[in-house]
Amino acid sequence: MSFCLETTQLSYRFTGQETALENIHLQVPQGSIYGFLGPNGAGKTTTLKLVLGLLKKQQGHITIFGKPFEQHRMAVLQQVGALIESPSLYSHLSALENLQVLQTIYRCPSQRIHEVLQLVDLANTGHKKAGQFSLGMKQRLAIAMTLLHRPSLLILDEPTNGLDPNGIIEMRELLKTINREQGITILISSHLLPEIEKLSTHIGIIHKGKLLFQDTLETLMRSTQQAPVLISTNNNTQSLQLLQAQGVHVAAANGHLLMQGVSKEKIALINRQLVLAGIDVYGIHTQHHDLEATFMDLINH
Amino acid sequence: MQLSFFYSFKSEWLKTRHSLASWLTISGAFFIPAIVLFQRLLYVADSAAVNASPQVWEHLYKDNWQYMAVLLLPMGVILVSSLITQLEVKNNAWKLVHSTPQKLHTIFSAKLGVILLMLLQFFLLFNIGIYLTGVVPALFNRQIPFPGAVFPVIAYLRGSGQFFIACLPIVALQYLLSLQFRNFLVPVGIGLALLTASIIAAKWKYGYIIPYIYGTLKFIGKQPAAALYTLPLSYFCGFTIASWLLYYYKKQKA
Repeated sequence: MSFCLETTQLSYRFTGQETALENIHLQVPQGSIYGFLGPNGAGKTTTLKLVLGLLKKQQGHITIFGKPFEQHRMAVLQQVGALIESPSLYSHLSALENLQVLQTIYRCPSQRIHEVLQLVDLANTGHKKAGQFSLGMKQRLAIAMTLLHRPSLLILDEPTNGLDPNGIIEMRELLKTINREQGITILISSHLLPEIEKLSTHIGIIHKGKLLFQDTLETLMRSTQQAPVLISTNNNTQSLQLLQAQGVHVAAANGHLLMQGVSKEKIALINRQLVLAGIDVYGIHTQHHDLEATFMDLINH
Repeated sequence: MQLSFFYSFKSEWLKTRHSLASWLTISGAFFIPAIVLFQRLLYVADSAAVNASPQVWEHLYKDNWQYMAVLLLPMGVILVSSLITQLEVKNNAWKLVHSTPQKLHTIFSAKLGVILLMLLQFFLLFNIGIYLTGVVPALFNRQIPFPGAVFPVIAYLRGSGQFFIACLPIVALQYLLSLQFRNFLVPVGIGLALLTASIIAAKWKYGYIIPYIYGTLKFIGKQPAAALYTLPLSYFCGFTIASWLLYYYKKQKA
């Protein structure tokens, strides 16, 4: 698989503080929407700032489009659009003027300004200053600025922060559209699990500076088949002894029996054995294991 | 390299549109000439005598520069240099600038270039303002003749050029400070403190070592020869190199 962005053994430590990142191996496949998940302070922004050269790299390697970032900084940044934390807009300039500032640097045709303004639905803002925009408009303008030069890779750090539900839906649809229609790879960081779940094809989970998981969303969700199973009976002690005698990995927990890594067929067999032993089975259920549960499992263990 | 500097410079110049720094440059350039003009319209007899004199332009030059040179010009330079640099801090835009395909030295020099161009723009407008203080009273009052003497373009350019050089140490140090401190008040506060110190030290025999004093010395005309070009240009080069090194080696670029 070819990776649009790859980091190896990326580590970082802020002066006088503990390690912020430890051996991060990020692999963002070409054409994917890569959700970079983690709670606040996990190291998402630090990773993205290192990838863009906004922080000086201390250890590790960063490769973008197959090229080492440090040696090819200019060529790489020519193909990258980035939005880190809150939008960077010149509040005394209009949307058009903000885009002209970047158009001059990227030397792209001026008609492209109108295209991206149309795309983010800001074509009719006229002379209104960016400082007078709503937060949603500011975010959309910031997205337009990242798309202006037709990048191959978009790096977005918490782009839905502060948006209302409607704004979040609009942003999601916009990102899906540009990924699908223009083939732009998107690396998006967020602490909002439902957003990442609805948007991403691939997921990386970071916590306390360590990358805990990285793969496709399907692979992550497939792990739900190995989710814990809870059994309630009228005699948990006898049930526990019976199952342990048969070599089942089971433990008592909060008035239930808890089993890990049990297949559907095995659950049915255990149920039959308990009933045959004269034990009343009140309920068997697989713990609901959505992205949130998986995420919590990962960061808590 | 030159082409990328041109585009970076153009981009930086676009950012100054509608900015406080650009309004300050324009209004600051016409502020003193407007007051002098008002005074000349009020005192008709004096204005008529001055306009009839062959030294009319020297007279108007002194009238305008005496208020500008010592206080307003250095204050304006302090404010504009800090405001231009702080545009990125105020708009949280350093991270945007540093994630564009521009080399650090191009960003650094383009921003400094914009400040210097704004200073040149100020001198141009200020000289136009001085010219208007000579001509406009004659348009409004028939008792005042048009200035008889030819406008001394070369002498005005030389004078403005020397004041421009006198401002360079202020530009460079304010630029350095504004790149290092996120709080706008720090560079402005330090700048105003140094300016006050330089005004107080104007009569001190070693006052010429203070980098903010050269405009004052140029106006009172008591500066040692080195204070005209060598010292201000040396300070400018020194502060600019220090500023670049501090900017380049800054750990975090956003």
